[in-house]
Amino acid sequence: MTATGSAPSDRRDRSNLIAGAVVLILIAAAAAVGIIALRGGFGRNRGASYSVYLPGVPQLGSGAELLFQSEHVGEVMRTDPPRIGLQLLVTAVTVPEVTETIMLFPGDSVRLAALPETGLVTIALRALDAVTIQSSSGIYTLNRRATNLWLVDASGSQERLVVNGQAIGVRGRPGEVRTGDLIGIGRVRIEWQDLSDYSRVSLRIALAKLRKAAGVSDTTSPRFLLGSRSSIAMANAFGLGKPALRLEPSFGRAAFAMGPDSVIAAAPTVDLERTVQGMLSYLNSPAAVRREPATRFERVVSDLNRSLDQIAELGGRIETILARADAVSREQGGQGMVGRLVLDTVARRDLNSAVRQLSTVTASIADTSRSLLARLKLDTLEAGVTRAIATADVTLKRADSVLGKAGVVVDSLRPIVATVRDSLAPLLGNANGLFNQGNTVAKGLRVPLGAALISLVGLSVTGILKLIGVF
Amino acid sequence: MGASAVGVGRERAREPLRVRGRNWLRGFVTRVGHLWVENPADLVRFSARLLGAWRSVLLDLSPRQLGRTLWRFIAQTGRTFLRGVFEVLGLGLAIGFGVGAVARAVGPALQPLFASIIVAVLLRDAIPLILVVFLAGRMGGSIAARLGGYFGQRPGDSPLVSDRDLTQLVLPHLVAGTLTAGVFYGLAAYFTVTGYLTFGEVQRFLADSPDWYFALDSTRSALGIGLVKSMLFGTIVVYVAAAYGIQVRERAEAGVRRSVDVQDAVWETSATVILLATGLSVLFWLTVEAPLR
Repeated sequence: MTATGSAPSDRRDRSNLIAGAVVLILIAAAAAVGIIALRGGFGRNRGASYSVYLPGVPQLGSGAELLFQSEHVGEVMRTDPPRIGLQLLVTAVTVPEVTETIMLFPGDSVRLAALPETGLVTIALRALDAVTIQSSSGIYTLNRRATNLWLVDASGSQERLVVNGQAIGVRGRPGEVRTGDLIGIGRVRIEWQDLSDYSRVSLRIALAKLRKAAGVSDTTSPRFLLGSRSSIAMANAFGLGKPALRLEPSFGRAAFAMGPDSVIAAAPTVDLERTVQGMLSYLNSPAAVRREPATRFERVVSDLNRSLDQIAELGGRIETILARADAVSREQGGQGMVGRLVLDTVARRDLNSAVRQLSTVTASIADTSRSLLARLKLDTLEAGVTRAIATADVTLKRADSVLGKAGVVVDSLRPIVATVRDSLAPLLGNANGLFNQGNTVAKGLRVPLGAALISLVGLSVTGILKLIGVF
Repeated sequence: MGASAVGVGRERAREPLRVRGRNWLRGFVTRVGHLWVENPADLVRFSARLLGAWRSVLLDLSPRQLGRTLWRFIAQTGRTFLRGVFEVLGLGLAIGFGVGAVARAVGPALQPLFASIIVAVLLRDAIPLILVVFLAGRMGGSIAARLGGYFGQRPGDSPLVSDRDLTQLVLPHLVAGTLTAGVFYGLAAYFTVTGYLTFGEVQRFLADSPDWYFALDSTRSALGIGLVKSMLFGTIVVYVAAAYGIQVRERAEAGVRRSVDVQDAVWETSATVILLATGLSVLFWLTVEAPLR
């Protein structure tokens, strides 16, 4: 074990010392270049700033990815707290039509230029309850009087406001505007929406990457690349993966809304979990406090409730009639002339029982403070009071069965969604995040990889020099 | 003697911190040079020597020597197989039962995801990588230690390895390593798939047959890639171990630090093999289409 031949050992150590120093210098240089590149040096951070207004509070942190066809084309810079604002869909009735989304917060205004010769249309949100629309024919003022109810004041204009193709405020047509109404002013059509919460998400889009991913020329202008019909949607895959945004660019005409900001429209999205939750909440909520039906599912539930109300009312009437008959039969302890003539003792006992049961049934059905499912799950119906009620009983049982199955199906969706979210989130979410990060890092590694390649060449040169005995 | 030893210890303890730091730094930089330059250079030198020994290979494969050569290959393959087969069986069963239990826990809604993505990734990427770690430790370390520590067992042994010795020492290990890695991969993949399909239940494991799963195109594709990777990794394990082992043996000509060099060769074999296998896996991974990438 002792160094009997120390000279070769010393020579080898010295050689390794020099080689090691070269390697460490190369590693340090490559690491420095890599860190600078990953921090945005070497031009990686060049990009254009855009913003999108998403409803509610989107779970998007700084750095969340913006994807186009699964390619990284940008990232979220900042997400502002939600503000109450007005988001309108405006269409220039030209050939072809151009539709885009405008966002207004109190104090904001936007000018629309559909055609130069028709003049400008200016929409301004003066306050949360006042909107003015100014055109060549005058000024219309819309005042918010209740949720989803805006009253139109056309006193500042020479013409009536046209809503859904007809002038309002004449021939009994109320001068009001609700969500979904189409306001026509000259060559501009405005699809009205009520106030809501919107969060502004600021984005940085790497236009060069977008051009490359979209396969368009490098000289394509941003206005063409992100045309007026471009949209952005959440892409969180039911919460399984890391939240991201999906960009759908629309190549073509430039925007006609001359706003202060480069805004991309938010695409409508379907959140399965929220939808199922909403259905369950609506199904289980008391009828008395339920909102107006807005979806097909809610209309079906509402119709069922109405049918139950009618059944309850019918039952109530039958109950009144039977109660009167019972009262008559009870006079003089049931031994009176009328009582004996109308009903015998057994029939009177049955009648009393029927009245009690019917009272129980109708009281349960008529109780609008209970949910639909609670109103329908009535075992007392099994007794059957009258043939009419018995028929209703069968119908209600069927309805109960169908709704019970529907409830089971809807309920079964919840654990599946929860399982998907809870079980896979740690696995796929992390993996997805890891892949996304890896993807991002890999795409940003062009410069560091170059540096690493140069380091590798340097390493090889060092090895060759060592092999041929230079040191 | 004791006082002298204490005195030496005190003498060493009195070394200034600056000197000790400088010595440590010098040793560290030397080690870096050894790992990143000397070892790759050894691999290149070993490859050149192995290519230059083609005449000896032809001689080994000549009709007169073929029987003996084949017997060496078979014997070495058999030894290598027997030394690792039980560990590989345990490895495959553990992976299979583990994945099966997880698949059962997440329920039927997610099992197709397991079958199409996770098991495929296991067969194609994970099992070859796990296998290479096992082979590097078990087979690579053994070869490096045996070849590196060979000198000095008999009087008159020369530390230098001739071309003939080189091929006779290395080729049986190369054949054994490549074949054994392939067989081991097959065993591990079979037990993994069976364990997964039976959801980790021993009774079903013994009764059910996974033939239908192996007949799927996606499974066969993953198995093919995994088999090729495993055999390649097995070759790399033997190649690196032989290169480092023989280099250490010949370096003993200088008569210094032989046992330390052998120890280093053993762990450096594992580290180098795992590094190479990981790099190759990344390259393989880059060839896979989205969304797996």
